[in-house]
Parts: sequence; C-alpha cells; structure tokens
Amino acid sequence: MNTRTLKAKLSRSSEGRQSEWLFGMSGKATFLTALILVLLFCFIDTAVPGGKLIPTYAKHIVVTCLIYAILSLGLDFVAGYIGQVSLGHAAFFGLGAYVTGSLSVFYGVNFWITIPIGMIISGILSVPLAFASQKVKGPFLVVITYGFCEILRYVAINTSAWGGTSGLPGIKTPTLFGIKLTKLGPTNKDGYILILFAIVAFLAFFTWRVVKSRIGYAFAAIREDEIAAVAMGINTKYYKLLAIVISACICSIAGSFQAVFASFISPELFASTQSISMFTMVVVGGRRSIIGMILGAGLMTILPELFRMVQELFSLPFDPWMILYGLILIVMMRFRPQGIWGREEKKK
Amino acid sequence: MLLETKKVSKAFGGLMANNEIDFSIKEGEIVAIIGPNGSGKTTFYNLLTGISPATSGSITFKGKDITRCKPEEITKMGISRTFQNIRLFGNMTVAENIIIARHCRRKSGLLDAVLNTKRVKQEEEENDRFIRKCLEYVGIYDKKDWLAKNLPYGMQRRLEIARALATEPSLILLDEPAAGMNPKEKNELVEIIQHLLKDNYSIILIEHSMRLVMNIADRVVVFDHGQKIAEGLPEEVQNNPVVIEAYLGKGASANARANA
Amino acid sequence: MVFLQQVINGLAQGGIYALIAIGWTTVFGIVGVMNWTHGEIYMLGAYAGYFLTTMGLPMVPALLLSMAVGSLIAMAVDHFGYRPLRKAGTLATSGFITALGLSTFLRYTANAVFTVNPRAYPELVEYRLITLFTFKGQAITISSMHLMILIGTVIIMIILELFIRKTLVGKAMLAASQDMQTLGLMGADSEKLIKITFAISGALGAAAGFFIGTIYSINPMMGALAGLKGWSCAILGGIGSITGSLVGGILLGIAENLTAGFISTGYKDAIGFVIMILVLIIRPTGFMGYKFEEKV
Repeated sequence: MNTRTLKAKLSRSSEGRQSEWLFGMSGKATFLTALILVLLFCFIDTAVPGGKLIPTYAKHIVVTCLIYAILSLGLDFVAGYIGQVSLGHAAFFGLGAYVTGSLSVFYGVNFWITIPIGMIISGILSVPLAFASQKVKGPFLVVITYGFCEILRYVAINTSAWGGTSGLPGIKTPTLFGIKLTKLGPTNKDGYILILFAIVAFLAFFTWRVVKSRIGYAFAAIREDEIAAVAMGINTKYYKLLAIVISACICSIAGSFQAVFASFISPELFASTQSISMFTMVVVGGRRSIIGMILGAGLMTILPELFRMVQELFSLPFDPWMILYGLILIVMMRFRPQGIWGREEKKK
Repeated sequence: MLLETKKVSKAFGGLMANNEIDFSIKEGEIVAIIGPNGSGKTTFYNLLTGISPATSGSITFKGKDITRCKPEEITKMGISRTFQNIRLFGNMTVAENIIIARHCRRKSGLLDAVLNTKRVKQEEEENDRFIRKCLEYVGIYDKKDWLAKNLPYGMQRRLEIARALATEPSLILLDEPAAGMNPKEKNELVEIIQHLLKDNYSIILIEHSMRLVMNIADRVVVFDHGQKIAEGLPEEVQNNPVVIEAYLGKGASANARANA
Repeated sequence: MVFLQQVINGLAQGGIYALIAIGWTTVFGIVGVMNWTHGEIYMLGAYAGYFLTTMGLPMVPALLLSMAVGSLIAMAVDHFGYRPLRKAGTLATSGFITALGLSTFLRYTANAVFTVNPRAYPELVEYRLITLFTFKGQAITISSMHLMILIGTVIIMIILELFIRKTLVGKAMLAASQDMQTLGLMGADSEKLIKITFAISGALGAAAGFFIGTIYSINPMMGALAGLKGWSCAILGGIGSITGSLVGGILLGIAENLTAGFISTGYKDAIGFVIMILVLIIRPTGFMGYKFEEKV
C-alpha cells in the first residue's frame, strides 16, 4: 500500500485529533498568540502617543465577534458533537439576555450574579428540548427547536413589563473590581473585549477537555450510531440531555453579555434569523472544530458588516449580504461540506 | 444458569416476533440459535440486551431479573453483542471504537474531564491496555489507527467482536459473525471463538453457516416463526424432522424420514 | 356562537396551510429532504399571481399560471440545488443546509427585486358576507373570498387524490414514498419521478400563495413563517400522509382563530408551534402514523 492511501485511512476523528489549533500550534501557543494580538488591539492606541489606529467601530465589531464565538462554541455541542440540527438556539441567547436585563433593571442585581442565574434558567428550559430529542431527530427536531424559540419570542413580545416589541432599555454597565467595564481601556469597548476573550479562551479549553474525555466519546458514539451506542452501554438519553444543557448554558452567557453591552433587550434576540446565523457560523467554521467555531463566528460577523458598508456606499435599497449568504451555504455544501476549518469526513 | 428466559414474548402490533421462549445458557457454554430468516433470532437478542424490551415473560441473568432493565444496565452487568449488519463507529479509529466500548467501565464525569484528574489518567492508561488486549485478541492491533469504515469487511466483523470484549462481558451475543466471510476468514473466526471459550466466556451464536455451528456449538436451539421449535445437541437437531421441515418444507422432511 | 364563527373563519386559513403542508410532505416522503425553500415557492407563487392579476387576467387562468410558475421554480430548485448532492450521495448530510441556503437566496433576491413594500391583489371576487346558517338566532357567516379559497382548495385536493390513486405516475409516487431504492431497481425512472414530485409540490405551494394573496397583502418575507407552519401541519398530520396534512392544516387554522378569539391575538402565531411540539413529544408519528423506527 502506498503511503498516500495509508494516510487517508489513518485520518483522525475530531475526538482524537492531536493538533486542532491554528497552524499546527499547540493549545498554549495559540492562546498566547491570541492574547498578545488582543492586548495589542486594545492598547496600541495608548502606547502610541496621540494614536488613533483602531476605530471604535472596529472594536465594537470585535465584541460582537466574541459574543458570537461563545454562541457557536455552545451550539457546537448540539450541532457538532451529538450531530443534531438546532434552529432554536437563539432561545438561550435571548433567555440569558432577558434574565440579565430584567434582574438588573427591575431588581438592581449585580451583573455577575445574573450570569449563573441565566445559565440555570436556560439549562432548565432546555430540558424539554432534550426530552424532544429523545423522541425525534433530524427535520422533526429542527421544527421543535425553531418552534420553541418562536414561542419564547411571542412571550417576550406579549409581556408588557418587558416593553413588548420595543424592548427594555437602561441596563446598567457592569463593574469589575469597582471599575466600570467601559472604563477599562482607551475606549468603552476594551473592557468587554478582554473579559469576553477570557471567556472564549476558557470555553475553548473546556470544550477541548470535554471532547477528548469519556463524555466526548459518548457524544461521538451517539452521533455515529445511536443504536450501537446503546448496545455499548452508553446512556444515550443522559448524554443527549447533557450536551443540550451544556449548550444552552453556554449560549446564555453570551446573552447576558449582549444585554449589558447593548444596554438593551428586545424580542429580536429570539428571532429565527438569529438562530439560523448561529447555525451557519457553526457549519461554515466547521462542525467540531474549536478554532473553526471562533473563526467562523468572526467571519460571519465581519462579512455582513462589510456588505452593509457596500450597501451604504451604493445606497442599495436591499441587503446584498443575505443573497450572498444563501449562495455561500449552497456552494459550501457542494464543495466543502465539512466547513472551512473542519476535517474532511468521507462518506461511507 | 448464567442466563435464563421464561416464556418471553415480543409482540409488534398483532405479530408475535417472539412467542413464549424458554432459553438458558450455562457458564462457559456456547449455544447456537439457528432458524430461517425472519424467525425472530435478532429480535430475541434485542430482548436480551434491553434494546426493545419484552412484552411478557422474564429474563434472569446471574440470578437477577433483567427483563425491565435498561440496555446500559444490562451491558454493565456483562452482556455484550455484535450486530448482523455491522454497526461500527465508522468515522472513528479502530482504537477509538474500543475506547467507546470502555465507557460503561469508566466513571469519570464532567468535572474530572475539565480538571484532568488522576482518575482520568488512570482510565486512559487502562483504555490503552484494553485497546492492545482486545485488538490482539482478534488480531487487528496493527490496524488500531485506521478509521473503522476503511477496514476490510472481515476485519470489521472482528472489530465488532473486539468492541464487545472491551465492555468486559461474561456473555457475548454474536449475530451472524461469519456472514459474508470466505472460508479462510471463517476458520480464523472459529479460532477466535474457541479462544473465547477457553477463556471461559459464554457465547450465544446466531449463525446460518451450518458447518460452523455443528463444529463449535455445545447445544443448538432452533427458531421458526418466533417460536422455539427444537433444542438439543447439534447432531440431534440436524436430524430432527421438525427442523428440516422448517427449513425446507413438508416434502423434504418426509423424504428425510423415508431415508432414515 | 363566537366559537362556531371562529371555526368557520379558521377553515379557509386551514385549507391554505394544508396546501402548503402537502407540498412539504410529498417532497419529504419521496426525496427525503426537508425542502426549506417551500415557503419561498409559496411567496413567489403569490407574486406571480399578483403580477398576473394586476395585468388583468381573470382569477382561474391567473391561478393556473401561478401554479405553473411555482412548479418551474420548484423543479429548478431541485435541478440546481438537490440533484448535484443526490449525484454525489451527500443529500442526507448536506441537503438541509443547502435548502436553508437556497431559501435565504430566494427570499432576499425577491426582496431586492420586488422591494420590501407589501402589495395587494386587485379585488377578484366581490366582498360579500354569506350567511351559512343561523344558530340560536345568530347568523354564522363566511366571506366570499374565504368561501372561494375553501372551494379552490377542495378542488385541488380532489384532483391530487385522483392523480395519485388513478394514474401510473401517481401510484409510482406512492410506492416511492415507501421505498425509493427498490422502485429504482424495478425499473422506474427515479429522477423523472423526483421532478414530477417537485412540480406538484411547487404547484400546491404557489396555489396557497395565490389564495393568501386574495385576502392579505403580500411581501417577500411572508414565506418564512407560513412555510414553517405548513411543515408543522405536515408533522401534525403525520409525514407522508396527504389526508393527514389536510387534517393538520385545518386543525391549525381553527386553533389559530380560536386562540385569537379567546386567548390573545398576540399568541395566534405561537399556538401552532405549541401544538406541534406537544404532538411530537406525545405521539411522534403524528395523527396518521409515520413510523421512523430504525431496524436493529
């Protein structure tokens, strides 16, 4: 057998993959590189006297990227590791935001306490979805997740305390060690960038450890062949529940930050387009690739912004990005179904 | 008795896929189940492993009633199986297939995973031991880094056995392990099965290849239309007119009687 | 009283949902892909109807032409979207996301071409309230448009049912929904069958769009929610069953109107999802049984 076919046969699964970080770097090296880049990005303007290298707008987009990176890392537990399609994960994004928003506006609860509360509530509300996933999958689960999120959206719209469709403004900026998050750097975004970067890094580490553990292999077994997984003594119900709850909790964290960052919550957080774009990030980035989740989120946040500029430049009456976005999905499924950073999995 | 069933039945709607089956196997024994296609053999395995629970009757394993047990509990108690239509985790490596099978013997949870505790390291060492042991048992250790779906057919069947072994069972259910194998592969399979018996595993074997069954089975049980129609030593069963009738129809059994 | 009136109001809406649902269910039954573009075909059918009727075409020819347009679009979707995946054998894994992409593409292209402003059909049937019967001294009425939609839906359903029961192609479709592979082995031209399936699905979707256009204004985003509701009805009734889709559609139409009448108009659109989730959890096969048990 020649070495090429041997190499193809040896290609590794996502669980056992050795170098899954960027450019073959180790996890630590990737983290340190990213850390240096982030610090440079935040503080270069203070280092250079009178410098205005990086516009606040760019920093705003980076915050959004990081929030979406949390979401796609979270969604990947469902869409990637246990291999189920969910078009309703905006539900947990929205829940996190609404919990943080209402607790802070109505009761003045400290932001950092609202995060775990949001996670618990999201975790509990994800149980019905997990329950549904025991009974149905594929296209049937798609509508259940979609419908679940829509129901929450209607609840948000129809609850007057939350301001209905117009939403609830006035969510206070959180403080860290007595300093407002908006005062942590040269612009009011840097504090968010640093804290969100820390969270994304931790989640990447968390995912990596979980995926190569006993739990990760149980997820893999469920994805590959559920009946064989059952026969091997894996409690598939429990592990599906676990994946969905983990996923919901992670997405809720992103929601909490979205609420304080925008200082505003509205039913738009539950919009189905939100769920769909989260799912697209996961697919484009490459399911089950940690680095793919982060880069996919970045790509799918930055591209629409660029196209919004194009739209404004030519004063187009429509959004060219959405048309292109549809095309990207079609072309991608045809030529690179595993996503940009995903490993190839040949069909049987 | 290692495993004993009393009048177990499985109904799908009005169809009795298994009808009041009494079955038993002793420790270290190998019992073959034969019967025409659709006679309820695989359904019987699904009852034993809890994948689709029995409608009535009782199953006892090692003295405990397991009729209503969940599949994962049954695997943990020591029953493991292979599948007639190979069900490996195709996109995982051979070694990883074994790691997944080790799941039921490991205990590490979410916290262990994140903190990478001592328990995780111990379990990983143990996994490596089992990968070597189980794959060497069936003779495919050198293929441990291959993706399971890329293995040749005969080796996939062997990996199924290795994977079943990795759950540390005392009773192994083999579902047509020789299906699609050439004579050489069949001989190697017989060797593996004999090795298993020497190591005091108990085996239930569903198999169509009569030569293989007659060679290695201690006892043979015959299924037809969801019912157990005969039971006995291989040669007894072979000449039983009821069995011949089930396989070849009425005329054939009359001929057999005339010849006898 | 109000209750009966709400039920009657729900019937016409239910008929439209049923038409959408049948389009979903036939494609899913035969091709095995969740054709997410179905909502967009419904929207484009509505636009086709809008342009044809504003050009002055009478209702029936406009409806038939819209259905033809719907068929063509659905066939094009299959030809450029799903067929290449089918050939490559990746439809099962990539089909859904491709469908999502196609749907987004169609929706926002329509948005660019037709603009986001809603449009309304010219009056095709003179608005009248027709009294169906009186109940305890109160008249239970239906509007002329709703009645027309109901009649139109019933006629289309009857034609479809006859087509499936009586023609060879129809019977082949029924067989294909059971087992496509075997049918292919028996010598049926599966590609042709798939084309016909998409054509039928598209025609039904466009008809639904046309009907909705006669009562409400239309816009490029209308397909998203309606498409999903159609899929919910298909699931409610049991995937693969045309009668099931009909029952599911009518049920949803009535449930929505009752919710609007007795609970709150705000939850009108949510009720369908609530029912669907409950049904799927309690009885995953829907009312008319579609079994997806895996053989071990």
